[in-house]
Amino acid sequence: MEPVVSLLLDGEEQIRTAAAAVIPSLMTSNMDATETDGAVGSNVRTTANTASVADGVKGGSYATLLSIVHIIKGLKGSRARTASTVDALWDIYHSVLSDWNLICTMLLSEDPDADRNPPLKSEDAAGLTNLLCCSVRRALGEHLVRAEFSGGHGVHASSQRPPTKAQRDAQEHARESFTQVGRCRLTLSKPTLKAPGIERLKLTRDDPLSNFAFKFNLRPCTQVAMKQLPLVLRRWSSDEVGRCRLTL
Amino acid sequence: MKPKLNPPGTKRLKVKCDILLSTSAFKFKLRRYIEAVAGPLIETIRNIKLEHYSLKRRESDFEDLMNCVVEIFLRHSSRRVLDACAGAVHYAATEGFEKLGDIGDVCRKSAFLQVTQKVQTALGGARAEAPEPPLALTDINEDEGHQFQIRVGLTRLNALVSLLPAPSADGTSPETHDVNKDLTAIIGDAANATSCVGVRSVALAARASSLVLVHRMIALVDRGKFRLAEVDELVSVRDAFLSNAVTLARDAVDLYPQSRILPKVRRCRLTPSNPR
Repeated sequence: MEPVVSLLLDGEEQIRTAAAAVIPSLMTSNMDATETDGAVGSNVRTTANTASVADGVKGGSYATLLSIVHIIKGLKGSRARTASTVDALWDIYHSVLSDWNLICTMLLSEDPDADRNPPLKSEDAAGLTNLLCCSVRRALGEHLVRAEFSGGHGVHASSQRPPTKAQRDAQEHARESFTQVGRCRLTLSKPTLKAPGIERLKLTRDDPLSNFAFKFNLRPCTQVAMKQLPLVLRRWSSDEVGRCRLTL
Repeated sequence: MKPKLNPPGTKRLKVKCDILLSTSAFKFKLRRYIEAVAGPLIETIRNIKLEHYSLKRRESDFEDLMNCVVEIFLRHSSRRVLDACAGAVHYAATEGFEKLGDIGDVCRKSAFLQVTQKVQTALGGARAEAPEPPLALTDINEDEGHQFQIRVGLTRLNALVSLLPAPSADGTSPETHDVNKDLTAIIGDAANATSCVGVRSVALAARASSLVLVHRMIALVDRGKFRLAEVDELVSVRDAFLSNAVTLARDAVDLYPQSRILPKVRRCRLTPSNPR
């Protein structure tokens, strides 16, 4: 599995996509092999067993997420490597990677006797939060891999993915907002068209209108973040766990 | 009779030390992971749409969240965590409307105030402990005691001023004035070879001071109306800073003669691009 996984960091986008396409079958075979061995102990094996119970339901998502975390850990996951891996796997594991509720539940779980969601090790939690950070950025349309690195060379060097419909909607709304602002400014900049004696209204907030209502992919992220983020932050910054070495 | 090599109780003491060392190593490992979790988590705050808090009347939740961010900011010293916290406060202060913006502003002021106070206290302690004659910049150990507190405090200050202006950047607030004064004092002492802080702290102080000056200048220009005395004061502070910075740059070239980048940096920063 390792040689294929390392291709997720390749400079060529096509190679990364091809490697990502192989990852699900490799993960499945890895899980099957673990089942045959009957060995229990490591996290990967635990995830494999969990996945075999109910693939496609929560257990499967949990196992898949942990497997991706372990893939990133195997790649000595720095921020850039995590971003590259998430970018490569996004098309295949989009639904799992954007399951913010599950990710927060995993980060919040504290009960060591829980079968479904046992508490994560600190290493896995760190990997999962990196994964969360990258997947949120990716879900909001940010390019995690820069164009000059994503294409490699030749024709692909400057190629960018075409925007999705949701992104086009957001752009369209931004254009409308700009039109509204431009209209207001035009009115202000042509005072001679106004009837004499009428006092012009002064614009106090002439910023573009918010387009949050049009960013459908942003809503679940925000709602989950509103509920879960304070809890997760407190869970991972509590005094019980320990203060920073460099605390002053 | 064979002489005793170790005094009695040495073995027990050694075992105690081993236990202590292993415990602290374990804690260090654990804490490192907690930092690794906190950084990316706080980075995601910048992707939250703040309107939801206003629409659902959950401003108190947002206030809790931001207080938690400030608490983590003052507890950790990893660069990623500090940058993430400063980014979150910046996002709240600039993107939040009305009450949310006020919450962000309060957090900004609170973070600045606490960091400034810590730097001031540590600087006082370092000055009191400074040896006579003063050590060279590179000989000062910055990983212990007051020196360490100054370095971490200045790192925090840098994380804040990289994105946010200090409170009341027009110079009316005593906290802002103090931080400026302290930073100028650190740089001035280093330029006069009487520094009580190490080379990394001096570099951080120079960066923070330049950014504080930039923020003050921008605030002055944005305000539109200003008195000439204010401009004169700002220009004099800037000139003093530049004078010290030039001296420090010259010393840095002498201090690191093997460096090929330093002379180039000095030339490109201090030579005007268009002499006419």
